[in-house]
Amino acid sequence: MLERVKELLVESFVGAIALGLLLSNAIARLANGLTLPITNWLVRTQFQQFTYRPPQSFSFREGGPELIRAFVLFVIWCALFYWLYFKRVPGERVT
Amino acid sequence: MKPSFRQLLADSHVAAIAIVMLLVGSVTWGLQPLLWIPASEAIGDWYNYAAADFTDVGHFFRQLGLPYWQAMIPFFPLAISFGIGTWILSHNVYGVGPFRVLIALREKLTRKRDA
Repeated sequence: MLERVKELLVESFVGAIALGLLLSNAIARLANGLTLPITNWLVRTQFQQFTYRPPQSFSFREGGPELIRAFVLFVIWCALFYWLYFKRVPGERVT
Repeated sequence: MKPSFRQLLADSHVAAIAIVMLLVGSVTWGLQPLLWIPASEAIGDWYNYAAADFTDVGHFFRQLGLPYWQAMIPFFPLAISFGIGTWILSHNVYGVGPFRVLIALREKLTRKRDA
């Protein structure tokens, strides 16, 4: 039955769309994780004049949670992509 | 012969869909401070003031000064990083830029439909 589900997901392009969305989400979270420290630093610098706190230094740790999410999403994507497209019966076409 | 990872990504259209979504994200994040936010503020102001016949057009764009653009700066790194991600993905899988990929795929799909 699982083979039948796999065949349906590939032929109907539902699998391709789902995997494409998952991959774009993983890449987007990676981009967010890398830019979050920069954007937070920019916002803190802009509003520095309104606070009485000393200026905070730039920290890459702020992007940590997003990078972890990106990694987990990418692992899930790899597993699903392998299951859908790599483990195929010899002679079967992808599209 | 087993196809390579890149070949599978290209043949299954997974990479193409990811490229489209990332392009949409890049354009969305880039256009938000340039178009969407000023337009929605102006429409909201117009709706509030229309009843009072307030027709000073300059009033509706008063928020587009330096403080506004300073507040919008954080949007642009995200838009740029989405664009860079799109470019890297399309070059790694297809060897060309994202727009060329989408044009080529569109032509391929059109030919397939007409055949």
